[in-house]
Amino acid sequence: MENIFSIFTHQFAINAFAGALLASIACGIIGAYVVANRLVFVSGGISHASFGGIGFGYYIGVSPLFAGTIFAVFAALGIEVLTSKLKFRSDSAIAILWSAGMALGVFFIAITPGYAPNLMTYLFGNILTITNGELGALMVLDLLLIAFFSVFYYPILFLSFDEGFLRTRKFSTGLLKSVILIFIAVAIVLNVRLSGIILVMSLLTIPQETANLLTSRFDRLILLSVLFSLVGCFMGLIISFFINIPSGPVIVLTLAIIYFLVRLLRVLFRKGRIIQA
Amino acid sequence: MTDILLEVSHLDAGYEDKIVLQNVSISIKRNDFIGVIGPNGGGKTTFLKVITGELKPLSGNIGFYKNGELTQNMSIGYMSQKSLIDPRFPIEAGQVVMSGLIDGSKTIFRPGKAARLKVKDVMARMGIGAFFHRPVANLSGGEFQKVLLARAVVSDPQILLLDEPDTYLDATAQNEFYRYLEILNEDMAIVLVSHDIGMISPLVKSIACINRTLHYHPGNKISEQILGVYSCPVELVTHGTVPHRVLKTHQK
Repeated sequence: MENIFSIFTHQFAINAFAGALLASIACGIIGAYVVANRLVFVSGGISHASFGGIGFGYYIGVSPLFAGTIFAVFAALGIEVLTSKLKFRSDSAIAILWSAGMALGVFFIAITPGYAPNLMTYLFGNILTITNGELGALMVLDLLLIAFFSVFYYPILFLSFDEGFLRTRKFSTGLLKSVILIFIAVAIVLNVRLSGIILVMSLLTIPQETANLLTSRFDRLILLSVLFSLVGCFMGLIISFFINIPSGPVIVLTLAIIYFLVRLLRVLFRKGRIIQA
Repeated sequence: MTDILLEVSHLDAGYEDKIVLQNVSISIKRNDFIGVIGPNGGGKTTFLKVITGELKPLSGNIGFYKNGELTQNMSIGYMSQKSLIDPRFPIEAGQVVMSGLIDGSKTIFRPGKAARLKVKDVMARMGIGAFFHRPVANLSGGEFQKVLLARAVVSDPQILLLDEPDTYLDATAQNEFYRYLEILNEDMAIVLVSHDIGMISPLVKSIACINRTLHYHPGNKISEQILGVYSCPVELVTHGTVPHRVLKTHQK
């Protein structure tokens, strides 16, 4: 077997690992909020709606990820307005933005003249093609997320647990919620490169559910999620290099295997303790 | 008159498309213990939301008083219905109680040593001191309820609002819960919304019936006739030596 470290002699591999590191931090933090607030399908909707923006970006000739981010932010705020202000059923609102976004994306790409881009890259991700600009954007996002979640940790925690109670304390929750939704949208689109529109949900849920097996504290949930995400992404990348299969699916499968291993270890550990006692 | 904490007069309240409460007047004094009853959708929760300031009244006046003077910052404790909370949320009991100390005047909230001591003290007095680091997912129904009550009173409120706190409690837990309320009532006025007038009537000092408007009934004994006059269709349960339940006769 080739030396594992030999892959680090390639610049694209170094970029891929840097991308995985930065993505793990963003997805670990955002995913912990998403899972604790049961927003997994909201983020699925945001992710798929962003495809409309990606197609639109191609059509008018601006950066597809930039246009995708704009669409994702509007989708995130749109779901919030549709469900809380206009009393839409939340699953319907999500499904409408989800499918309409995908349809728009395909529509724009179809009417764009010339060579059609490889859709698979956006649907399932290809971290090997990550650019320096995207790495920079991810790093800025990570720094903003860390700063925001450190400063507003308690309001975010209390808001997630019981929003109604915070309002009885005359705490206005709307702005805080909207800012977090925008963070979710931006984090999702910047991670499309790593795992694609379809697989990005796994980065927001599997490491968090793994972490949740070991802790019931929000701050530790965030830290452990980042850790599990990092381990899964790195292992997945290395495996994908050696077996020559696209990195996105391998990362997702690795994350899932880690989840079941932790679950299994927890059961064995608990059983052991009962026998000791 | 210096005993008055809250004076509500000719209040109308509701949401964009419909008025829920009309012409509500009531005053709440120190050491009051008011049981609020009424049918579902009659406006009980809306009434509480107006007092906490969450909902602006459509018309009418609502004023808070401290030593007979109007004041803007009245400390109000609120205990919500447990059913609105995700019981699997990753948070410790101590952190839940801590959230009772947050207030809207500051966006950045960092609990210091004093806040932590305050939380521990309140939890200890309620017999849940050992649960400070316990995840809420591992609490029983009665324990969770005490945590929510501790959260409501940790800010030393002068008015304590309880929205159907007893819905999910068994009889033993309910009795224990009500004993805490009697102790708390020495320091604060309590407004208790309940669907079970029979359970709360030995506990409260007066009864308010909310059904579109509010009827105030001084005293804790209420008969079916009076309820009829108040147009307050609720289930009546009396207490006797043999456990039994008396239901109002059906009309129409």
